[in-house]
Amino acid sequence: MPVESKPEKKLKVTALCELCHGRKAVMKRPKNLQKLCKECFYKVFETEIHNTITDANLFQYGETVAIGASGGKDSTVLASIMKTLNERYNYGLKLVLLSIDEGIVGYRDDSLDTVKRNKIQYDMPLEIVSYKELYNWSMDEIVACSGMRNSCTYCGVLRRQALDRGAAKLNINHIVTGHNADDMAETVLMNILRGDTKRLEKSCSILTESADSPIKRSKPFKYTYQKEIVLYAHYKKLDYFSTECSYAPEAFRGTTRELLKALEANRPSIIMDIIYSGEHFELKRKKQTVSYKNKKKDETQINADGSISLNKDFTKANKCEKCGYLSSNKLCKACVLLGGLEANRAKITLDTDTSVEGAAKLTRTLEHLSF
Amino acid sequence: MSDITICIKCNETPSTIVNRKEAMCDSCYNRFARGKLRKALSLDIYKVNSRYGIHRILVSYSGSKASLATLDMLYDLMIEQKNRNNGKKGFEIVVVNIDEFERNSLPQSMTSKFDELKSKYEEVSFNVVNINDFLDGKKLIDYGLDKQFNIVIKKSDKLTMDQIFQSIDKSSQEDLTEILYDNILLDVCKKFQCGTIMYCETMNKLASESLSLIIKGRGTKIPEKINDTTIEDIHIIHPIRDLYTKEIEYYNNINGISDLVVESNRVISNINKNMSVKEIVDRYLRNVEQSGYSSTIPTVVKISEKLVAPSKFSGNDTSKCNICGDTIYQDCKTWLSKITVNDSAPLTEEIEHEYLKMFQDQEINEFDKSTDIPICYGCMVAMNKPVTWPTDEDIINEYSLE
Repeated sequence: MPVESKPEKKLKVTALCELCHGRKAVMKRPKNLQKLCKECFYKVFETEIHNTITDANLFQYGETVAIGASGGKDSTVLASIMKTLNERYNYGLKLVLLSIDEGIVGYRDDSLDTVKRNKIQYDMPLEIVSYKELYNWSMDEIVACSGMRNSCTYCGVLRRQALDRGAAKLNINHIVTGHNADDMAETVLMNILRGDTKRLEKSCSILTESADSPIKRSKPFKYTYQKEIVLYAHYKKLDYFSTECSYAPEAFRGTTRELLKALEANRPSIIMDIIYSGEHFELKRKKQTVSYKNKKKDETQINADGSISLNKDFTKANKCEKCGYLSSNKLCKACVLLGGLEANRAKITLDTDTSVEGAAKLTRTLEHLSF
Repeated sequence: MSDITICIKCNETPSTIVNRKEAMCDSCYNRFARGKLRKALSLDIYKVNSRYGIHRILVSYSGSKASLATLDMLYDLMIEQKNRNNGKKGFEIVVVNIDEFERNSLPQSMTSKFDELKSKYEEVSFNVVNINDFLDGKKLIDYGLDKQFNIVIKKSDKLTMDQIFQSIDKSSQEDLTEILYDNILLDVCKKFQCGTIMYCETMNKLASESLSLIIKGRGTKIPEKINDTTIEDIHIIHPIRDLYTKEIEYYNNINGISDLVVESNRVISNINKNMSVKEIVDRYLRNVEQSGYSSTIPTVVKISEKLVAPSKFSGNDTSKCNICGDTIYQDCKTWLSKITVNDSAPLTEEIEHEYLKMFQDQEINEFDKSTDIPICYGCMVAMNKPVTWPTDEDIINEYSLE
């Protein structure tokens, strides 16, 4: 006697995807808590990023673009989605992975392994630039010398220049980074909390270009929630490294991140709300000060950060006197910071000294311990 | 060697407090604190001047430490003017309190404190405004948002404050209360023929206010809310903006007026979900101050003072929000639609089409009608229905329905 197959249980309307109403919902969308099926989630996620790219007119056909790749979820999803959109919408881009090795033992060395696998998975060339090579300092050494509190300040300045140098080496003048909406909102808050008038108006710029750098940077994930990036990586089964930098939570940014987390728990739209506010920031224009009458021609102004402003005639040269890199001041920001560190560097070190291999290594070691 | 430090201001009396790294006696401390308020009243309209007559200042009085200190400092200035000018004064004080007895769980009604206040501040007029009295006779509309970010009218009926608040979350309640209070004060100010509204916000409050506005998508309102400004010929000022809350507390203590404070004794939850945006921001600023970043509060206020209305949208048509009156610089619906796509992936299976038909047969339109009245982004967010937001670290488990 033939066995009758059990009829499949019919879905209720409430269990259906709220966009297509034809497939079973498998997730709640973090941005608006809409119940969605996988297909619709991919569609909205990818289309929103495509809209962001086309609205801001980010790329030129035939351009070579470097993807800032750390091996983390943001940059892995960025590489994957850039490849997908480039093929689907025919952007005509040549994509290259560009990684920075900050020299954080137990954190960056592991994540770089992921980037090396991504290179094969996405079939993209990879270039790795290290702090040690460029500056003769690793982040572990910097933290050992100056403490954890300012770690992000050093790392941010050095990474920015390292990315520029890496891109210049490959003859590329456009880098895309995995900064997402959460990062953007965090930056807006940080700039307000630190009173950073120089950066406040540009907190939400999708494309940044500065006099100090010939390379432009863009953020296609400007409106993309970090949680959605995690979900996309999960459903697409992407290969990424998920440990956070162990120096980050000690910095002031860590307190801002905590604030954002608390606010997000209260209201999910908060990230977009902050970005909306940030896009409208404009500061009072400063009145032009008249130069004092006895000012001599060869006088230079010393800025608060220790750098020296050049007279107008000088800016044509536009090079750091120490490292030769582009700079609107006599010394570039990286050289100013490293100059301060050099003064405090130990004169003698042991060959086998591993004490500077800091907190990251210790955390990783502890993670691998078991009973 | 004596441990007693002499006040660095008068160089005579022993100091009683070290404030902002300066040792001061109580008398010099009073001069320092009152000087901050007097600086904000430097315009000729507040001085004894026959050309301008007697100016009327409305003090937004909540019963808090800050509002009491402001009243005390202002009264002191008025009395000094009278003593120096043969009984003439440059301004009169009108105290207005918006009744929050029930809503804010005040330990006692403000009217019960008025007798004490009246005996201390004799030449001041004290008034209480009830919110529902203000709303009475006004037609209120309950707006909502649909999935395509259209503004829809849910009901069109007479509503009380509590009915409005039933359908929105705590942060939105706080948000709308502030808009309503500002409207009430402006209305009352005109009714009492006052030329100035004085908000009693300390530096801590202003920093929290500024951050909260940014967080709620109301960043464009900062120049108007944080800076001193003029609306419909009425001066809006924040005279104690340069003083910290702890400085105000000390002022009240040395002047023996702390007993006149009436503040809410409601216990604020420490769970993020149960707090409002402002409560979270207040807690954050307190923690940051305690952990060594003490300059954060003045920094936030100073940078907020530098913000102006954005000029980059000058090509766009601007309009005023129907709820809060704020200027709308770019179309919020277009902005939201651009960043939140609502298109579905195509259906491929037959069963999927069957489900779609099943859904279409059951679909109910929950809204009455849509409207194209201008609403700003902040108000759109405030009137959106409350949602609970999971906080679990494990995002995949949290959002996956499988």
